[in-house]
Amino acid sequence: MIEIRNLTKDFGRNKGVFDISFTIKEGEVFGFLGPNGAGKTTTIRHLMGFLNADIGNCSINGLDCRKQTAEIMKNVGYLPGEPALFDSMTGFEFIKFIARLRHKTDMSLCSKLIERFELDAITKIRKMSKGMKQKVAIVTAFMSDPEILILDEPTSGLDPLMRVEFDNMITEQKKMGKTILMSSHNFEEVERNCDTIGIIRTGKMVCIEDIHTLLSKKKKNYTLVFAAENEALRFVKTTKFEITPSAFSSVEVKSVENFNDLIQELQLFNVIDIQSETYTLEHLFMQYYGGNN
Amino acid sequence: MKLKSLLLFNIKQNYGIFSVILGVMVLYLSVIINMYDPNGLEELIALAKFKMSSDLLTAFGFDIEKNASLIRLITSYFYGMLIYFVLIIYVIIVGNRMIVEHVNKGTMGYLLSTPHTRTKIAGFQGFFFITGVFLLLMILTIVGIVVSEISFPGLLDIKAFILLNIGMFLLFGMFSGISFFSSCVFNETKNALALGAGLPLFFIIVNILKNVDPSLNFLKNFTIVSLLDSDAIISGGNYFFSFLIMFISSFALYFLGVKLFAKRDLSL
Repeated sequence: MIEIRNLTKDFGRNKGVFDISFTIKEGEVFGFLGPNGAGKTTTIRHLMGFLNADIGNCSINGLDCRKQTAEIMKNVGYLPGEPALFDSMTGFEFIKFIARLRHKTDMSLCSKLIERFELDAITKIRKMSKGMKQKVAIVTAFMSDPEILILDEPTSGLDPLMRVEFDNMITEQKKMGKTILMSSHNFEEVERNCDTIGIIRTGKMVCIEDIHTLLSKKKKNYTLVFAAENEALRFVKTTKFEITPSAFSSVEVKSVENFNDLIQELQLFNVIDIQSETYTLEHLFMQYYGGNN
Repeated sequence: MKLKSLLLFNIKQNYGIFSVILGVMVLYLSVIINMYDPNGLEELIALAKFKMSSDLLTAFGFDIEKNASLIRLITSYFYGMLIYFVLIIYVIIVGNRMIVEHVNKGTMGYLLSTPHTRTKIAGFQGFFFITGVFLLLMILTIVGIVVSEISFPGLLDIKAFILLNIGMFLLFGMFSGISFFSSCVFNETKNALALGAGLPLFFIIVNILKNVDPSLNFLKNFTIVSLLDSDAIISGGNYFFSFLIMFISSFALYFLGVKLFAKRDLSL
């Protein structure tokens, strides 16, 4: 269980985190969302015991994150936001190096992970691409089969296939009852696996919400492409949705809550393409504040 | 040992610089020992004066009488100045690698995400660092004795030579302590170097300046190098008190470095 109580760390110039509190229960997957520089990593650095809080504290399994760090680390897998690996080593050397420091001698899980993420473990880390380094960091975080996972933007740098693989792994870990904190600046990245979403902005928590509640509020925008311009005009005249007509035969439909309603309406038209707009954190903010952010 | 893999990493990272520094010191010392002439050093002194002005020779510690003993020659020509500049390179480079480089690069984050306390990691790094300095001087001592015994059997005052090296170790305990301390308290390499390399070099340079002219002798109060009184060691004077000061200061610097590292905010 991860508990953060009234955590405040003021770096000056409005940077830092201010009065953050949340709890992640055992077996819960927590999506920690926020734009860049919002304070996600600062919060995680407190959990890892790197920083002293100005006010408040955090604990993992009842142990103080700053004072009992070494004890906590026995059960924690950590994936840093910008993994700083020992670049004179090869991927496998680094993995072994950390495994030994963790007193973990069973390397079978490592080999499985290396295979699963198609990690080229014999290249020197110095010569690896960002994505490849990220894979090394992922293997390192998961290899000791920890009860608690603290993952700071875990999928950054991964290609789409590997992202899917990573998602699958989180699903498996969740089934195994792991407690997971996962930060991201992309809602869609955490929506599939997280039970709870916490959103942080300029150092303050703006909401902590059950994923189902959040999803039910989710509204999406679509761009429809009609077969002909007059089709589009006919749709613009009759639709009950909020729209912005764009070039020629395409129309943008805004804030669709129930996709089925849209489908039903469209049955009377000749539509050749539908594109859904990526659901960004900004949209979520907009909805959360009713557009007044 | 629990930190064995960190030890192996340290060895792999530093054996190169260790070997080079050791090689240079051993070579210099052997050459200087073999410059000795039991029948008097007139030739050597004349040769030295031919190459450099006598002021410069004094400044660099190459200051010697013509009927000096072997230990006097070694003390003057090698332990007077050369050794400082060679050994300080090891101290500056390795001291920087021990802590601050890991913090600056971020690799410390990985070390601290393992079940080891900051005190343990930093303490281990400090121990590795001082052990390296100890080994360098220990090997140098052995080589010095062996080379002397081969070239001039029975002429080296071995007790004084060993004491001189113990004194040098304590002095470098302080230099490495300064370097380690700044490695522990800074987040960035450049800041750690400003103190950890700047201050020891300042002390060494002040030690040279004080020899340039008798009027600059007051400078001896501004450098910790003065704590190592080689005259007292060779002539059997009282050196115990200054050894004790050097030991306590070295220990305090390492201890405080680890303590502050364990407490402070780390930019990881």
